[in-house]
Amino acid sequence: MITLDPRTKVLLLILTAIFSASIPNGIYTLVWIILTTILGIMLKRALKTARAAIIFAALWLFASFILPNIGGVLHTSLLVWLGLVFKCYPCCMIAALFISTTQIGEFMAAMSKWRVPRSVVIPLAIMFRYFPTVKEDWGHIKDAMTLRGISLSPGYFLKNPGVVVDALYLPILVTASNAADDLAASAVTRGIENPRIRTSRLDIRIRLIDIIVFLIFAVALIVGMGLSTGGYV
Amino acid sequence: MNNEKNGFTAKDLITIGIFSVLLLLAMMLTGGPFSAVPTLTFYFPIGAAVLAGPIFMLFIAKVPKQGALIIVGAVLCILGTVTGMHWGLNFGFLISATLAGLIAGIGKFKSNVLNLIAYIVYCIGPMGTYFVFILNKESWVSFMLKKGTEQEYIDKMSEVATGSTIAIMIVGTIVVATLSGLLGLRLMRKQFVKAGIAA
Repeated sequence: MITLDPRTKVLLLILTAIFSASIPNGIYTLVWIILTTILGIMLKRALKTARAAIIFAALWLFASFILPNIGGVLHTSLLVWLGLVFKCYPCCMIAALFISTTQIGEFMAAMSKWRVPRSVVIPLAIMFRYFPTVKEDWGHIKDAMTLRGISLSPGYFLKNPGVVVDALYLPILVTASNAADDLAASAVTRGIENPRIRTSRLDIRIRLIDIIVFLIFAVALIVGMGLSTGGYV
Repeated sequence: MNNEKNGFTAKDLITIGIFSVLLLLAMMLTGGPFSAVPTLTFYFPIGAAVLAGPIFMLFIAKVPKQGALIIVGAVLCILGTVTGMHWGLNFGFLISATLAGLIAGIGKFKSNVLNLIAYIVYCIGPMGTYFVFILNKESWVSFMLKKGTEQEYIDKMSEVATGSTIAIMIVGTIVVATLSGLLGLRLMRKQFVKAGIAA
């Protein structure tokens, strides 16, 4: 329905980080999550965003209504754990939204408009791209280990630590190392080392919608800062 | 290239990106469970040091350049900041990765002993947040959980955070990092050099 400039998304992420660092109140976190959810639906990631929002709602309801009735050590541990979860949740949610709705090419083009040095942009872009690959590789490696009768259980590990270590590290590191070479070859072929200013076929511009979304989040942050009185949920 | 003065090629930068992912995952895999439990949270650096040794060793063998570890530190610092981690942790990463790079650089990234020391220094990074905690408990708790946190929790943290806990944290991290680093060096010698990956 709408598309945002990657730069706007970076700004939203920064706003959310400021929000997390300065406004801890559960009720504002809730507002922030609602805003993020609406944004997610607008960006056509309705299902995943809704799922994240529901998980948050469940945790929040638990913290507000069930937690006060639990006493003792469990109460403190859960309270602290939920405190940390609530602190990281808005950032992680918007970061996930950012990664899943942004093409790497878009990201690189937008960052080069901001003149962010390539030595930072390339590793970051590669990280976005490589996280899912690690997960996939991990599945293959586990299959291969099962096939050879190697298990990850502590008992097996204590009996043959060397075998497990080799079977675990070698494939992961060798695939990573090869992936780096392959990606580098393909990136160099496509001219990543070109010293001129990067051009892009993609039309990346700050549009009205970017400004509107940014203002909504910024106003929410400022109002929240003004009204925040402390308190947990 | 934009970065000719650092001498980074696109290949180096891509390798840095991929190994940052692996270092981060290794840290979360064994460190994550510790950080979730309040009384064990001080042992997070120990857990974080368990797996990453071989990854670190292969990384500095693949990109033996001054500044490569600084970029890893900066990337981890950026990711930590945008996911709302404590600044002590983020700048701990940056500072310790920079120092590790300098130490390994003394031996041109080839000396096993210096590489091992570099890895230990790198593992000390995540402790930054606990150093901040010890220096100023109130500010740490208010950053992590904000006003209105139960006094109970602050008391509990302070109770746990005695001198011996800190000593265990530091010594434990150094011991675990040494073992993990040695494992890394052994894998390098036994496998990666022969396979021609770490030429």
